[in-house]
Amino acid sequence: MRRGQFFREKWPYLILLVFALAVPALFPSRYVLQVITMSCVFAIATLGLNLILGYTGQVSLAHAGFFAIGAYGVAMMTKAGLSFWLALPLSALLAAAVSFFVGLPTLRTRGSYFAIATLCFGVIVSIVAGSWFSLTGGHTGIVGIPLPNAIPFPLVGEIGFHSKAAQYYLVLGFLLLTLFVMHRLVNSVQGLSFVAVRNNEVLAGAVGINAFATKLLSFVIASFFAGIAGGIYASLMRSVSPDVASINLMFNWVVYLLLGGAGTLAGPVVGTLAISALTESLQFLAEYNLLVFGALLVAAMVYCPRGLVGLVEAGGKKVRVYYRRQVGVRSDLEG
Amino acid sequence: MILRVERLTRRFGGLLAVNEVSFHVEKGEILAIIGPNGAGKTTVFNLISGLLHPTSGQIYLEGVPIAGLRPHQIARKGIARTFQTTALFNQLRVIDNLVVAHKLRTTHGLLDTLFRTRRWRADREKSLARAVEVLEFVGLREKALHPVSTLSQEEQKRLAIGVALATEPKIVLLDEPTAGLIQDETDGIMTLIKKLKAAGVTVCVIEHKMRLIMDLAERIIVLNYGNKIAEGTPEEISRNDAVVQAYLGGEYAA
Amino acid sequence: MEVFVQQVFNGIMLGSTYAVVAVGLTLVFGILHIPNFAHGHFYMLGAYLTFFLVTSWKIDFWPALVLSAVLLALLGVLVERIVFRPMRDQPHVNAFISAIGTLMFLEAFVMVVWGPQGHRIPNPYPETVNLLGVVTTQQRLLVIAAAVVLIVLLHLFIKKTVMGATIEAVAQNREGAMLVGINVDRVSSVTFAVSAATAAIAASMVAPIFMVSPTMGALLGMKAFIVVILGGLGSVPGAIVGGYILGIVEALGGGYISADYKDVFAFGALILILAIKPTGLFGKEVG
Ligand SMILES: Nc1ncnc2c1ncn2[C@@H]1O[C@H](COP(=O)(O)OP(=O)(O)OP(=O)(O)O)[C@@H](O)[C@H]1O
Ligand SMILES: [Mg+2]
Repeated sequence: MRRGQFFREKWPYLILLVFALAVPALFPSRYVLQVITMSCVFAIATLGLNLILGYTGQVSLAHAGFFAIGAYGVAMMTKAGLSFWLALPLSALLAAAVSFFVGLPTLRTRGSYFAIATLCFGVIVSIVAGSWFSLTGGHTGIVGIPLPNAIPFPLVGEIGFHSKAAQYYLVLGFLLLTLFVMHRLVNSVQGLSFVAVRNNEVLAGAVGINAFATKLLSFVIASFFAGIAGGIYASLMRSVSPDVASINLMFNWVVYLLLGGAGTLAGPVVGTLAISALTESLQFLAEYNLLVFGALLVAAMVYCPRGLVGLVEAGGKKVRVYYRRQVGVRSDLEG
Repeated sequence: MILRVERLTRRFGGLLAVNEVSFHVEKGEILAIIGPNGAGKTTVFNLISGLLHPTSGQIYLEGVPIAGLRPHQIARKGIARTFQTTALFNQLRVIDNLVVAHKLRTTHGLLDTLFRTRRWRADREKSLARAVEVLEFVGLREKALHPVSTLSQEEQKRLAIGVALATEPKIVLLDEPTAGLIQDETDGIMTLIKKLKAAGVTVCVIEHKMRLIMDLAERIIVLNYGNKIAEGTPEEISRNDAVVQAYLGGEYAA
Repeated sequence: MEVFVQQVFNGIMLGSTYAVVAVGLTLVFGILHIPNFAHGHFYMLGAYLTFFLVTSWKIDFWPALVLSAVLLALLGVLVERIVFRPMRDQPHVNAFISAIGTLMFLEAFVMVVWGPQGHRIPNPYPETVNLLGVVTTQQRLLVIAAAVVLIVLLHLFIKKTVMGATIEAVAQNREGAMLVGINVDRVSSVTFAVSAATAAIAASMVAPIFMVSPTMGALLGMKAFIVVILGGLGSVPGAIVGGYILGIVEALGGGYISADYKDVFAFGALILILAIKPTGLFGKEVG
């Protein structure tokens, strides 16, 4: 792909990127920036959920459990003196490893059975987090978690994470990394095999795809990113409690994902940011928040199961067809 | 001899769906399996392709026993199949159906995917090349980027055969490839199957329409109530009394 | 020994609730194949309605319970119509996600109306009884008795009424039932009504013993699913036996091992059993 073509095709993304980088300047309020930062953390978790639920079609309700493992992992390791930059990958790997062993039995089940089995695991995590006092601090949890360690840079000196802007950029960096990984996964044969398993498991088997292994891989990667999100969350919030494993947190992600558009890359991010923004700006709704969410979720399932992004795409397709006719079709199997 | 089935038996509760059936398929030939509804034809395919496990009996692919393996393992060993009710990845584009079906012949792993290594790129080129080759073979080249849902009935059947071919099989099992098609479309599929043979692909096909089978298959085996009641060339089969009674006398006489 | 008997008795009382709630769920999940994950929230709402009628409208306990059951039956019909009927020909997981939307809505609704804190329904029968050495209250005995009555009534409904027979027919073969002219829509409505009403009755019976709170339904709903999956989808006897077993195991586990971890046993057991048999103990598969 030549450079000129690159810019011609990707300019909307560049504009988005510039906008994302300008966020701290555009929203000087510490509170607003904090809200945006946390939404981005949740967007990472939702992107993970998207891989297993959206692309692979398995409703994993253990996601908050893995988020919690990441959060408690970073909390304990950094409090024990380990650097955040080591604790984070270790905690995420721990979440991934646990999900491997949870996936082995639960992925043998299908449909609602899988949803319930994984939910059981999620609840177990939250019970353990609330009850194993010596390890997790019980219901009060762990407080005084250090912020991510400053990164030394030659010439510039150190980049610390005390300012909200720095924290935002940190999370943005991880969000972009997550998007990058998901993009590479999804736009590959591996990604096609996730969708193939969701679409028709029997046919997938007949063409040599090991559906169980494929689901397990998707589940483990999804949980890894839940762990990453949880770890960042713990370090920025400076405290964790069993709430990070709560069913409600995970139901929120399901709402973000389904309203944004499951099985698309933009869906989880758009859903998380848009809905967080909506609930923040409609403060008077606060009390009715979940009331509205619940109703919206049902409405989405009934009227547009492909979410916001699906709606936009359906509209966009008409535009693109018109555009193609004007420009002439360029056959590209490179897709 | 590519495929050999020996005393294959499958029971569903009290029902003997397949009873001690033995046959073999020679390299490069077209073998047809015929029989009335419920004779156990699809069940034989399900057993060979690993979707069901035999109650007893054995299946050999190039002399190696494969009964008891899981479907994806059998596909990797070189047996591809289509389904009676056309099965496709209808949430994927046409070309992606073929690319994903070729995944089993690729060797790259997760890290190759993430870093888009040379191996990943080589595999991708190979898969795309195979996909395009198959699309041309089944005559769907210009539909490559379309969603499956925009294909006609017949095109979907062609694509299903294409998906099987994309796995680079040693033998393909086609389960009623013309079911539900009108005359013209049927002829198109028949031409495609002949083309398969010409290209050296070994085919085992279940077919209801006798007329088609007669000038397609080298050999035919006939199932009835789970039992193999006859085996032979088309002429022998059409002269076989048991077959005429069980089958040709019935509603399927062509 | 005395402690043991007391725990078993508590387990039977808990199990009575589980059994009734699970029977309601097995009708919907096992027979209509609808994974109504909001079933526990029907239960919760039933308890709240009784609470509301007794404390605000000053209605007596029994009429309040009946009224609450009727209201929940109506709600069940409504939810089936709005939420689940459009999901019929879609993948199973879509119905599951719709159910999540429903339960979020119901929980938030109760939060908004009655607040997040717990409430107590005045116990209509607080007198203690000494039964074979077990000290208990009349209300607790009533819970057990009411469960038995309810289960018998449900059994009679399924086995002896035309509607019950129709539900069984649909369970065995939906297409066939449609062919012989059974109105599947009506069967779905009735099943949901019965299922939600029984949950409301079970909830109203135990409400005077425990507190009512917006979150009381979530855990119970999960346990009901566990019982239904273990007891065999659509099997009423399985749900009953499973419910009592879960209640007793939980009471004993809570009493002897650890009150904190008692739910871990139930949930862990489910994962283990599904690991060995992915379709449940007596399972037939539902997508
Ligand atoms: N998974 C199964 N469980 C129970 N019975 C089955 C199963 N699969 C097939 N059968 C039964 O086995 C018998 C053979 O079925 P099969 O599908 O192999 O027939 P067939 O020859 O392919 O018929 P058709 O021409 O209608 O496709 C039938 O009686 C069928 O009902
Ligand atoms: Mg068949």
